[in-house]
Amino acid sequence: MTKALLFSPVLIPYFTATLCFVCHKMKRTQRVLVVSGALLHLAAAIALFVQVRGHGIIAHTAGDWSAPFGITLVADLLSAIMVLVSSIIFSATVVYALFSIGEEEEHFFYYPLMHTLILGISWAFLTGDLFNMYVSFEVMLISSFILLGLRGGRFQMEGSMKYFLVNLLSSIFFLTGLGILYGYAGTLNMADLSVKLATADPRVVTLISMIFFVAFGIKSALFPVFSWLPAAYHTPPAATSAIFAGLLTKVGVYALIRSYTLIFVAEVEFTHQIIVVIACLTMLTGVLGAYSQSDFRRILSFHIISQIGYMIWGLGMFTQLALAGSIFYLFHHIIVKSNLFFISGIVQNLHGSYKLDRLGYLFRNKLVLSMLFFIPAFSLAGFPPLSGFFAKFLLVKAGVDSGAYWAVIIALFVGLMTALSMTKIWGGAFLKLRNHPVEGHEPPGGAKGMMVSVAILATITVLIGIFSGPMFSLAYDAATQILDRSVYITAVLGGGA
Amino acid sequence: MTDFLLPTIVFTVLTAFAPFFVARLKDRAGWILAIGPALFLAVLLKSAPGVLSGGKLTSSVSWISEVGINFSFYVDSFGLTFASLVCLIGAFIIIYSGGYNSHYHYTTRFYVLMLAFMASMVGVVLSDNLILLFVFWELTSITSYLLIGINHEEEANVKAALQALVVTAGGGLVMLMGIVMLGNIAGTLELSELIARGEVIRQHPLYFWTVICFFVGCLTKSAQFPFHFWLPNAMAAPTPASAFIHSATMVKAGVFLLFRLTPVLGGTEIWFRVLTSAGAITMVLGALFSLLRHDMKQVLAYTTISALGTITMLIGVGTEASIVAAFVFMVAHAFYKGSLFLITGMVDHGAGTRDLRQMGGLRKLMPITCTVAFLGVLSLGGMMPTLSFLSKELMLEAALHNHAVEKILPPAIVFTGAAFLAVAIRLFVVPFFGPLKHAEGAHVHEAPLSMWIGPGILTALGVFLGITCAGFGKEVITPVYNDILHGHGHELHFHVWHGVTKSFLLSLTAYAVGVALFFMRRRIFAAFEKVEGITKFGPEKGYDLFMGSIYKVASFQTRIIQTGYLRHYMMVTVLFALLMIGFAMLREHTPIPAFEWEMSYLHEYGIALMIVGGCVLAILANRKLMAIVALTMVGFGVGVVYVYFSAPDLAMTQVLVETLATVMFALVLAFMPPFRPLGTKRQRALNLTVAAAFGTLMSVLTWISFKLQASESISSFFAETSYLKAHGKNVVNVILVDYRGWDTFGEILVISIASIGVVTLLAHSVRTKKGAEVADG
Repeated sequence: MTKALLFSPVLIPYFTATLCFVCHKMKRTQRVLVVSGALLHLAAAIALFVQVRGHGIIAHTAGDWSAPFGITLVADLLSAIMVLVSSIIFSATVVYALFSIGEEEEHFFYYPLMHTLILGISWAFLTGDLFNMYVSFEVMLISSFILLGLRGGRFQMEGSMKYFLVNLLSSIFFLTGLGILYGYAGTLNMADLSVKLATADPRVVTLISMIFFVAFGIKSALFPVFSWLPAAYHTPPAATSAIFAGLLTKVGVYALIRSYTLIFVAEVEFTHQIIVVIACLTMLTGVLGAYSQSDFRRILSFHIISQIGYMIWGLGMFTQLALAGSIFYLFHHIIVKSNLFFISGIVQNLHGSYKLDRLGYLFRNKLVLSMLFFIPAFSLAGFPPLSGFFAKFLLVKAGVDSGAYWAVIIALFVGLMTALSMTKIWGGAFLKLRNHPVEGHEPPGGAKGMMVSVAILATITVLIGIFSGPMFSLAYDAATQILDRSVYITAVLGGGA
Repeated sequence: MTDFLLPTIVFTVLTAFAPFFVARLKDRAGWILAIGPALFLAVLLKSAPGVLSGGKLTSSVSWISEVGINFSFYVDSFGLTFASLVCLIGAFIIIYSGGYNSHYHYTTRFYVLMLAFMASMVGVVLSDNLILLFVFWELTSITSYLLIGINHEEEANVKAALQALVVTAGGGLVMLMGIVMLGNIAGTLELSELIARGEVIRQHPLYFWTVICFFVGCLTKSAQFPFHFWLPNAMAAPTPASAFIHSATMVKAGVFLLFRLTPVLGGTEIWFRVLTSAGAITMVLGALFSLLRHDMKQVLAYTTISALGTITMLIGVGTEASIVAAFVFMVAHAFYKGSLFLITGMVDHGAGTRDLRQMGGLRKLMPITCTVAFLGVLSLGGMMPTLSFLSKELMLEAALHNHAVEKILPPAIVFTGAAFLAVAIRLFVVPFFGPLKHAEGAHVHEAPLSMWIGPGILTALGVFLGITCAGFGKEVITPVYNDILHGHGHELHFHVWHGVTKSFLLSLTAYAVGVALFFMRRRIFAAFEKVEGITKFGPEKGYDLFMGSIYKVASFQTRIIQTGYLRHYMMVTVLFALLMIGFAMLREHTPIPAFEWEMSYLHEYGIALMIVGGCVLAILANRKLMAIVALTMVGFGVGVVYVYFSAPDLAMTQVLVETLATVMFALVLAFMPPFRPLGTKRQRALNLTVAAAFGTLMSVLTWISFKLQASESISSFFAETSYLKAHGKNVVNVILVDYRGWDTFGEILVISIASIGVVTLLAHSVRTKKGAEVADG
C-alpha cells in the first residue's frame, strides 16, 4: 500500500497525460479527464502526506532491488509537503485553465503537457537517487519548454528559447557533476552518497558540490544566474506562468536543500557561508529588479528571485529553526506566488494587458478582485497576520539567533522593498484612474470562473497565517528530520548500513 | 476576559454587515455601526473598577509558542484607559461619519476600514505578546494606508498614503528586529513578564541596538522628527479618519509603546538623550509650523506633531512627575484633537473651505459648531480649568525639577504653549467672527446632530475632567501611573489651582506670548514667506531622494543584469561556475594529485589527437559544414575511447547518435543564416579565455575525483548479479531496463514529450505569427 502511495504521484499524471493525449480532440472528455486526474493526484498527495506525517519516512526501491543498486523513491516529510503543495497548485491551475486557456492551446496538447509537468515535479521531490533526479528534471524541462512556446508567437518563442538554453546549461552542469561524483564516490543513491562522503576528503566533496550548486542554482534562479526567469515567465498564458512561478524554481530550491543537508555537508562553515552570501545578493537583486519594472508579471517574476533568496538564506544558516523557516517559506510562497499570477491573468482578461500604464480603475470597479489581490500581495510583502509574516519572522529570528545581523538587515530592507513594489502594482492596476486602455478589448469572459482558484488560494494563505502554530510544527518536524541524516539513511539503506 | 468575547463578536458581525446597513440606512448607518465600539467600551467600563484597583485581566492562547508567539492579551489600568479612549472616540467618529459621508461613493469601504483600524488599535493597547502587538501595529499601518489613499482620484492622496506606509511600516520592520532581540535577551515576549526583567535587559550587551530598533519603530509611528513629514501629508484622508489618526490611533501607538517599555528599556542614558532631544525638537518645530499654515487641517496636524513631541520628550525625561504629565497630556490631547478635526470637518462641510484666509463670521450661521469649537480651543490653548491646563502645569513642574533639563525644556514648553494658544485663538476667532466669508457658492448651514454630538461631548469631557481632576487623579491616573512604572502604592493628588507657583507664572508668560503671537500673525506670515524656500530641504527631501535613488539604482542594476541578450546570460552562467568552483579549488589544502603521464601506446595519442584536433578545427572553422564535421570528429573520437575500454554498445550508440546529428545538421544547414563571426575580436578573445579556463577547471576536477576515489563503485554489483538475479547477460542492457528501468521510463517520456513539441512547432511554423513586442530586456 505504501509502495503504491509512493509511486502514485508520478504514475497518476502519467496515465492522465497519456489518456488526454489520446483524447485531445474530444474537448469534453479531455476536460473531464484533466480535472479528475488532477483531483486524483491531489488525493494521492494527501494520502502520502498523511502516511508520512503519521508513520515516518517511506522508501522503496523500484523493481524490488535493494538500495543503492536500484532506484529508490523516498518520501520524507519535506518531500511529502512539497508534493502536497505542488498538487494543490496543480489542481488550482487546472481549474483556472478550464476558464482561461484558448482552444488553440487545448488543441496543441496543453493538458497532457501540464500533467507531464506535474509528473516531473512530483518525481523530483520523491526520488532518492541523484541521476534519477536528473531524469525528472529533464521531464520537467521539456514539458515546460513546450508549454512556454505553445502559442508560437515571436514574443513567446524568444522567452522560451532563453529559458530552454540556459536551463540546458544547468542540465549540462548537473550531468557533468553526476559523472564526476559517480567517479569519486561510486554511487548516486542519495542516502548511500551521504554515508560514503561522510568519510571522504571534505575538500573534494566541497569542490564537487560546487558543480551541483551551479546546476541547482540556475534552476532556482539564484543571483547571478536567474536571467532566464524574467525573460520567460511573463510570456505564456497566465495559467502556465502561474504553475511555473509556483513550482519550477522551488524544485531547484528543494534540490539545494536536499543535497546540502544530506550529501554535501562536509564543510558546512564554508559552503553554507557562500550560500548565505548568494542568498542575500539574490534577495536584493530580485527585489530591485521588481521595483524597476512596470509590467504586472515582470514585477512578479523578479519577486520570485528575491523570495528564493529568503529560502536559501534559511538553508545557509543551517539551524533547525532556519530550515523550518525555509520550509515554511516554501509552502507559503508557492501558494501566494501562483495566486498572484492567477490574478494577473484575470486582470489581463478584463483589460487586455499586463502593462501597468494600460491598467487602472480596478479598486473602483472590482472590489472583490481587489481584496483577493490584497491578501497575497501583502502576504508576500510580509505583513502580519498573513502567512508571509510568519515565514519572514522565523528566518529573522533564526538570523538574530545566529548573530547574522547584516543578513537580517538586508532581509528586512528587502521586505520593505517588496511592499513597495507590491504597492506599485496596487497603485498602477487598482487605484489609478487614468490609463491608456487597450483599444477594442472585449473581456472574453471566464473571469468569474478564474476567481474560484484565486479565492481558494487566498483562503489557504489566510489559514496558514491563522494556523501558523501547527504549520510551524510541521515545518519544524520536517527540518528536524532532514537535519538528522541517520533517519533518512536508515529508511533507505536499512538498519545495517 | 470572556466578557470581551460578546462585544468582539458583535463588532465583527456589524462590520461584516456594513454594506447592508449602508444600503438600507444611508446616512444613519453610523448610529448602528457605532454600537460595536460602544458595546466594547461598556464592557471595558464594566471591568474598570476591578482593573483600576489592581486586578489585571489576562488571557493567552498559544499561537507559535515554540518561538514565543502567543495570542495573549493583558488588560491593566493603562491598557484599559487607552482602549476606552479608542472606543469612545471611535464610536463618536463613526456616528459623525454618517453625516459627513452623505453622497460619498466609498461609504461602505470607509466604515469597514475605520472599524478595522479601530479594532487594530484596541489590539495594540491590549496585547501582552509583543509579536501580537506588532501584528496589530502593522494592521494599523495597512488600514491607515488604505484610509489615507481612499480617495484615489487624487494622485497626491495615493502618494501620501504610500509615504505613510513606507515610513511607518519601514520603522515597524526595524522594530521587529528589536522585538526579536529583546525576546532573545529576556527569554520572553510577554510584556507582563518583560516588565519585571528590565534590570537584566538593560545590562545586556545587545541592549543598545535593541533600544535603537524600538526608537526607530516608535518614532516613525508617532511622527517624530526626522520622520514627522508623513503626518501632515496624511491629512489626505477623509476628515473623520484624520481625526482618528491624530487623536487616539496610529500616532498614539508609538507613544503608547514607549510608555509600556519605560520599565523595560527606560531609565538609561541613551533612552533619555534620544527621546528627550527628538521629542523637544519635534515639539518646537511642530509648534512653529502650526503658526505658519493656513489650512485648518494642516495647522492641526502640526500641533499634533508638536504634542506627540511633548509626550515623547516627557517619557524621555523619565521621572515620575514627567511620566504623569505625559499621560495626562496624552488623555487631554486625545479629547480635544479628535474634536478639533471633526469641527474642521463641520466647518468644511458648512463653509466649503478649510482655508483660514477664506472664512469668517460663521458664528451666526453655525452657532452649535461655534460653541463646540470654543470648548475645543479652550483645551488646545491650555486654558484653565481644562485637563490640558493641568497637564501643562504638570510638565512645567516636571521640567523645572529635573537638573538635566531645567535650563532648556521650560523655555521650549513655554514657547510651545504660546504657539498653541495663538493657534487656538486663530482657529476660533478667524472662522467664526468678523465679516461673513466662505467659499463661493457654499450654502452655509449648521452641522446635523450626528456630527456635533461627538465633538461636543469629547470637548466637554476635556473641561469636565479638568475641573474634577482631584477625583480623576486618584481613581484613574494613580493606578495607570503605577502600572506604567510597575510601581506600587503611590497616590497622586491633583488640584486645578496650585497657587502662584513658578510654573503658574510660566503659564501666564505663555498666555501673554501666545496672545502677542496671534496679533502679530500677519507679520509672521510675511516674514515666513521670505524664508519659505528653506523648508524644501527638510527630511521630506531626504525621503524623496531615498525613493528616487532606489528607483535609479534598481533600474541601473536591472539594465546591467537583465540585458536581454542570451549570450550575456550564458557568459554569466559560465563565469559564475568558474568563480564558484575556482574559489573552492584555490583554497589552501585542496588535494590536487600530481599529474601523471599515463599514455604509453601510440594509438592512445592518435585518439587524443583526433579529439583535440576536432575541437581546434571547430573553433577555427570559417564554414558551417567544416565546423559540423569537426564536431563530428570529436564525437567519433569519444566513440573510439569507448571501444578502447571495451564498451562496444556505448561506442555503437555514440557513433549512431553522432552520425544522425551530423546528417540532421547538414540538412537544416540550408535554412540557416550565413556563417559570420559574431562580436569583436576582444569579445572573442574573452570568450576563448573563459572557455579555456573553464575547460581546464573541469579537467582538473575530473582528475581529482578520478585519482582520489573515495569508495568502491557499486558497478561491480551489477556485473556480479546481472545474470544470476536479472537473467541478462548484457550488463548495460540489464542496467537500462531493470536496475535503473525507472530512469529509462523517464527518458522515454522525455522523447515522447519532445515529439509533441515538434508537432506544435511545425504547426506554428506553417503560420508564423508576428509579435512586435520584445519579451525581455
